[in-house]
Amino acid sequence: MTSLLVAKQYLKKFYGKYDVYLMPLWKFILAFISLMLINYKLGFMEKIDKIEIVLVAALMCSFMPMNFTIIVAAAFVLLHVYALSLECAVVVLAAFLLMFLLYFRFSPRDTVVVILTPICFWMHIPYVIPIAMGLLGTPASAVSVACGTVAYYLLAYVNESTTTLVSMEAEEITAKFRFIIDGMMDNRTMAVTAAAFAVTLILVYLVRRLPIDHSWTIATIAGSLINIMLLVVGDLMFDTNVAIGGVILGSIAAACIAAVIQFFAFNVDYSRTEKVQFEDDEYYYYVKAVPKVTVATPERKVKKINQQKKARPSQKSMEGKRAGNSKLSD
Amino acid sequence: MLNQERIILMTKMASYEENEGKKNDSIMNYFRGDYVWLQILKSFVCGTIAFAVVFGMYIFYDFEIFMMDIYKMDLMEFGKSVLMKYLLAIGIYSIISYAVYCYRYAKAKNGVKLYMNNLRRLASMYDKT
Repeated sequence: MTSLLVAKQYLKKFYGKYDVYLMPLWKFILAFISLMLINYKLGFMEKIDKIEIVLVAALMCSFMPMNFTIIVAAAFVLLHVYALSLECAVVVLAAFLLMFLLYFRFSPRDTVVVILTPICFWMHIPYVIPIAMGLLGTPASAVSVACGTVAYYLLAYVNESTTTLVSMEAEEITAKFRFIIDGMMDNRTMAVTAAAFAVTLILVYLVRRLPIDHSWTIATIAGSLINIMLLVVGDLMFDTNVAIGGVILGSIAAACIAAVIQFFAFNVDYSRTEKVQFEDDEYYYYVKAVPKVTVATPERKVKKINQQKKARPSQKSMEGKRAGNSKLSD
Repeated sequence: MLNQERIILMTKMASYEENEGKKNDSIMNYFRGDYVWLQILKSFVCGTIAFAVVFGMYIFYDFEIFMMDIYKMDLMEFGKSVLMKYLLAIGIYSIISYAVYCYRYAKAKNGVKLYMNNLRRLASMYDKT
């Protein structure tokens, strides 16, 4: 444990020292992964399905604010979907517009969650998002997570329906339109997952704010369990065909990732908790102070193992002469 | 001689200026009423566009049936019902906006107040030395 804490201190120091370079690097990695995933999963427009284009776009994103990445990712999605069908592009554009106009006007900081949620879905660890956002965010993040879930299922539906959409005649514009909207509105899995994630996030937030020992750990475990329970109940009620084994394994993975987040964001020593009471003119104070776990990083000591060089005989004689001269002058 | 307390205070203040300070300053450029109404106006524009998008999708979903029924239906009644739904949606969205931006203004005001207190404390520390 001590070595982990030392590693954490080193990481913190390293991050603090190279923050200027690391932030653009993170943005670049996030943009690169998200654009590559979009190209891999959709990839209908060959012109932008090239690594050079992705690299240039990701490089641009690394020097711009975080929201620029969202705009670039949305543009990539729209271009791919437009190459598949115009009607699809209209529906996706409408969905994105509604998200940006109605919700992200209020909380532009949360937009990154909309990118992270589909990435986690594609990496088969979607359950980490509601737990992580419950630990680090606010209850308002539930809407962002729900928006990210809707975006993922919308894109997954477009991807699944490629053959049907291609086989439809070009004249059947309204039929295509209806097909996409019906597919989106009747997607029970999407609705159940979005609702389960929102409830899990709020529950995790509420539990981790409780003034009890190990609140973050309890919140993580309770969040994982409630998430599994909600998805299973949703499956029983609405027949969403959720793979129970996958949900359980994904939730275990999510709990492990949440433990890592907790280690970096909230690592306290409950054994040294102090409870103090005092008063001033206006209030009585009942304070509970929990110290953070910190260790001092070991200082590097440079030990010289080379012995001092012995003075050469010629040098010795020179020094002797100098000493003699100085005595004479005195 | 370095004063540790002064350095901690200055670091806190610099961090505030770098992060929340900029946002709070832009909010505090307005009076409360002006700020909240400006944001509600923006919400009104966004809400209107969003409603237009949803309405357009609704019409386009059953476009053929809508075009067949357009000559039979009472357009005034249809317009009235659409207008009522629009007003309801915009009303709810504006109330939410009002609550959110009132809260944000109050939060920004507290932040600036705290910053000014810290500034005064810093000035008094310099006066003592």
